Amino acid sequence: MFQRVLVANRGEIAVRVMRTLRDLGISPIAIHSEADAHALHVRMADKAVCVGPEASRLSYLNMDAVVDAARRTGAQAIHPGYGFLSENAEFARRVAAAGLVWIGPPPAAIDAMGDKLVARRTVAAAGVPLVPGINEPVTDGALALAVAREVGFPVMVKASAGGGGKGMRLVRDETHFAADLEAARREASGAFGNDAVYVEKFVERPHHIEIQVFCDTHGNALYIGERECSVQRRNQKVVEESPSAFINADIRRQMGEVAVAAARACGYVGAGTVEFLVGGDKRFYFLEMNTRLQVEHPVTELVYGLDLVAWQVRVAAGEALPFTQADLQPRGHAIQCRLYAEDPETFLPSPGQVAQVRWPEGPGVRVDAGIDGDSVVPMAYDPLVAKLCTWGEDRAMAIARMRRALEETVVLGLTTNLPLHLRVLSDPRFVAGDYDTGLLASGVPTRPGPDAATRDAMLIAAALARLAADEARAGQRPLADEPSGWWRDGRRLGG
Amino acid sequence: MIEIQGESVPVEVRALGDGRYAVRLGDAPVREVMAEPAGLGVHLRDGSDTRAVRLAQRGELTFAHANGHTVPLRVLSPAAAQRRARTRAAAVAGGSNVVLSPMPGRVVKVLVAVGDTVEPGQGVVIVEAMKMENELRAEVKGVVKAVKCAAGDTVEGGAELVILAAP
Repeated sequence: MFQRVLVANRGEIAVRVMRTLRDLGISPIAIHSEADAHALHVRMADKAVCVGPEASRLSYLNMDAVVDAARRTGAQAIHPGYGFLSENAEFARRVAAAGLVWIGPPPAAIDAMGDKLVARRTVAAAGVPLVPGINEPVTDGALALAVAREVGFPVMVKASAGGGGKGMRLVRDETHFAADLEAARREASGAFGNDAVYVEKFVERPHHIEIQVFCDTHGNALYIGERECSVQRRNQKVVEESPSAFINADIRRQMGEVAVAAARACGYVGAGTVEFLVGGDKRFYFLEMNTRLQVEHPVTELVYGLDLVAWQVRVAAGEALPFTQADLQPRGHAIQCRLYAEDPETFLPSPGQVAQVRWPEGPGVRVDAGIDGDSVVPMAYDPLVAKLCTWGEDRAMAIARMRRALEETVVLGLTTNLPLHLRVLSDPRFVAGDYDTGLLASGVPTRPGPDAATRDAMLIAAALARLAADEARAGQRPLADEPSGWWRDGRRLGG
Repeated sequence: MIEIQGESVPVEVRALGDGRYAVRLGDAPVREVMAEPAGLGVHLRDGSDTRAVRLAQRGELTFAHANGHTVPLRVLSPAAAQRRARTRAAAVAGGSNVVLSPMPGRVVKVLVAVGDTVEPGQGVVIVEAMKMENELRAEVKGVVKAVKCAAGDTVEGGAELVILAAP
């Protein structure tokens, strides 16, 4: 086993990977940009190396600097997390060329599956059903429009190298096509350094369900259940759960077997995810394979009782998976809410200094956070600041615990999408398990504000804090015991 | 005056000693509460009813959290409250002729030039933050009088990006 592993990422996933490294007795090493010098993931590591300025392409995407940081700190392996260089085959090759272990799939598998167009061709050859579209990257606007017309609007424009909703646009008709195509290519170029996009037909009101696969270097390839990821906004997942309330054990098995076949077809090793669109008739279509850990992996960990990151590390070190397909039975139900630093109404990002944080605790609660009360959330990176997860013996208990956990959560200073989660968790369609990817767009119920007594308490507390601040400035103790003058409207009136 | 959820509520408090405070909210009669600083907020007792309110200051906003709700508040002096009321009234009368950046970010592209005529809802600037692009649109019809940003600029939340003049 490794003694030191470098985590080539930031934020909550870097923190989450480091925790497992410590569980395995491995010393975690961080990289960071200049903007992240005091970030939580840096504070959790044994060593940290600055790899460049704030812009990702100069720091977290700077392959030479990252490999050099691993060499200089004596790391034996690199875990890429997700995003950044996690699906970059060239980086995986450079890591291996430097004599380090890449904790991820072989570069050839990343090439085959990481490029969405190659992936479509690969699985099509294996007979896996595909959504109609083009199997070539498009850089020419006129050609892209011709393809869109051929498969028929609405269409999805997607970054060929992409994932996570970036460089992705739903285009309903021709009038916005050119502008949306350009925006998708700009986003793709900025996020992945590659502006190739492809066009496919948009399947209306589908479910987004994905299968976790895991392969070792000894010929074992297994599926570890599914995740229902249909609560999405602009194709970005917001709430995930496992198992899916939509499919049954028979369809889970069919999807799992197809997913394993896809993984075997590209010589896959480690943790991977095969994403499917599932129609109302429960027919499923291959969407893409993500050749990395997924953001929503904790719900699988909770219902299958596994640490997927630990198995990534062990498999990279050459160990064989000790369980069989029959051993992998789900127990209970898990839900994950992605906490984003963004406004729940306007969805505008809300970077900045965190003033105060309290995470939920207690039965069935897991928090993977990338911030604490001392953190700054920079504007240059993804707005995901924490993943709140709950487990219950059944779905109803997982939902009840998530509501309780969300109400316990305090993040002050940033605007977060926490209120949106409470709305989703009280939507009758979500509670009944009867929803598709249209859930958020169709509107979830608004949430009543605080009751009168709570509101009064907030007003009184804010006024008292102002009083204390004013008196502290005047040289007195805050919230002093001595009687003081009337305070009104931010001024003392004497007394 | 404290602004909360779009309302302005006059608030008066007076320390009575021993952690007791006399409080008046709006037109309600004066009542007495017990308060003590509790960690990062205030713990209030009103008879047997106890409530913990967490507070944090960011710029001119106070964030309060209690009972699973987070609410931004603005604690204002009378002069500041009057200034805000005037600015608001002006904004309500006909939409703003200034396009502001709603968040800190980076200007990706400026879509208009000085002298262009823009329609309400027309995109004028694209600002990117946290990997997502946001197209900022004109609220009113007008002629572009000034463009105060360029592609690649880093801008603060609330920064003036484009100024329109009446057509």
